[in-house]
Amino acid sequence: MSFKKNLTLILALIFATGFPMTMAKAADGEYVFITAGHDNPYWTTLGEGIKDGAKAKGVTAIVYEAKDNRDVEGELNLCLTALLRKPKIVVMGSLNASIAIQCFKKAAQEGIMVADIDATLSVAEAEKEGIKLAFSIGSDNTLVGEEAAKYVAKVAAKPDPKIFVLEGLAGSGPGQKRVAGFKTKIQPLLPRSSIVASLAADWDRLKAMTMTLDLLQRQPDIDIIYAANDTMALGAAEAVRNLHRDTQIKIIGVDGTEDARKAVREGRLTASVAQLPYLMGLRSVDLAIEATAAHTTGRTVTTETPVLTKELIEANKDPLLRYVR
Amino acid sequence: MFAKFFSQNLNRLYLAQCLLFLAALGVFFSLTSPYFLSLGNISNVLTASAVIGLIAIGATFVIASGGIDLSSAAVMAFCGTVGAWCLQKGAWSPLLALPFAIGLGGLFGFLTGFLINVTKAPSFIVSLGMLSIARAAAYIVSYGMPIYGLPDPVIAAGQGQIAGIPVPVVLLIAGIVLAWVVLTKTRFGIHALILGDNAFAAEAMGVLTNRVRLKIFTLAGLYSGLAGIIFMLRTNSGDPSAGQNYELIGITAVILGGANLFGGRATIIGTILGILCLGVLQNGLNLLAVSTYYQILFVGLVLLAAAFLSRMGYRR
Repeated sequence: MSFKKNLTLILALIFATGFPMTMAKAADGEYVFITAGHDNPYWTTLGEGIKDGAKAKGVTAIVYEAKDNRDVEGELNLCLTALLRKPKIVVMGSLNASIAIQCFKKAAQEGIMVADIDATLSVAEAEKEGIKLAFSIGSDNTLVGEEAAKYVAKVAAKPDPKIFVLEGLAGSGPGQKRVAGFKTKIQPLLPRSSIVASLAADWDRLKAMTMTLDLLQRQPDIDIIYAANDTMALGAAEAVRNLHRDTQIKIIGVDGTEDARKAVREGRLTASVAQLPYLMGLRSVDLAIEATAAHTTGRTVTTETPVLTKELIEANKDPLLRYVR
Repeated sequence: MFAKFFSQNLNRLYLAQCLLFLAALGVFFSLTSPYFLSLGNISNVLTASAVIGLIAIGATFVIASGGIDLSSAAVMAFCGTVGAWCLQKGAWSPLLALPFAIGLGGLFGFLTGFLINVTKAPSFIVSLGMLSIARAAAYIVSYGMPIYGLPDPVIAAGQGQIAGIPVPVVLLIAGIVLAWVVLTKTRFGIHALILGDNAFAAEAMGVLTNRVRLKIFTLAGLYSGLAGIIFMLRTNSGDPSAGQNYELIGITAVILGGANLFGGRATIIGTILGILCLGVLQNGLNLLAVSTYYQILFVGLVLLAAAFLSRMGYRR
């Protein structure tokens, strides 16, 4: 094949694949949102909330997604590239606070407003770095743990239940808060309860299942299992079912994922403390519009974390259930 | 006439194709996005390419010699994590911590080369093992968590500029020049290519193949180490899970640049063009706000197109 033919081929390929995308041209006054990890249902749902919120308000929202929740450098690159579009505001759900700080400092130089979604960077932390966040929205993970503890206190069949805690990935900030919130709240509510083990199952279903099986061999009289996310709670539920203990042991998870809601309806899981990423996405659009219109900064918004139980789901009366996706 | 000139030399043909591809991408994105040709964006593309670029340069030597190094990104993560540990937890001087971390990369590379020489196992397998070891080492050093918050002067230097050029880009350019000199102007570089072309012939010619291989993998390890340091400086953290799949993107860039995956043909300029193609593609798609799903698809299509075009070259 001649060089000329190659050239034609390359050009044809580029233009054929490229032209349908030219519609995505930048417009003045757009809102940029950056989410962490498009392979994660939590972030996908949050992204849907943003898109639906923007559609409802008739504004242009561009949602950038990092490849996965470990692609730190990729997310930094996305944020720096997004600044070139000169948006009204960049709202970032950052994988870690330091990349948000780095990008936000550059944004400040260019007079672009910035905000946090998912509470990775708080207003106060940003202030320390000389960054004025328009707002920070997210759920409070300590509160999530406390809600779980309150629920356990309510449903515990006896005053001295033995509790097994499944923690998230060692050192994960949200994971630690969910566990710490639970442990501090359960003590005053059920003073005679005991936490017989608190182990990190790394957010992983299989690990949680194995750990639960092992623990139940050694300590068969467990009454309650609290897992820092639904994936681990479902793993624990499998283990409990394998040992035919599913009627005796209550299992509480966190997140309110679709799988977990199904399990709660079917009675495999007792409850799940839901995060509402869709609502977070919707609200972040409203907050972005308000902040850019009035040039206000420094708002902190905490989203609700309802405890989803079989009764609550079946009654379907709680207005927050609309936002559970 | 144009065509005849280029077809005289396979290497030049690949380079020309790559350059053409890059130019076409450039034209396309500058037509579709008003921000593409801005100075700020060009600086973004180059900075974003620094880490992958250095990994790809290391991979160029390995691929030139007929090997493959799957451990490069894991070694990169390990070096960045160790660097961050030394700076933050150990409070070492950067003048000690940074060379130490890069040197560890070299040590990892040396070990990979050594094990290939001793076991005679394919580099694919050995480096796959080293991938796990390096990744595990990074997790062990950091207890699985990123080490945040490096000393301010280090970050200021790493995220700063020299003569208006971002520091990561300066380091990338230095790495490119060094690699180009080594691959084209030294006996070692030529031996690496001969080794890749035909290991038996190389041995028959008196090339000390084991020694050449050791040097190649050590050099690649050092490049991974430097990439790790840049990653650490850019993200202000030593992240043990950094750079997932970066080794594959690096290899993609080398192949896009016209190298033969089975050795004997590779150029530094080709690799750089390959890196720029991928960098520009990613950046342009980001500017156009194309969904990540499609971005991954486009990278796949580009690689297939490159493979297709390089087959054309063989049939000629």
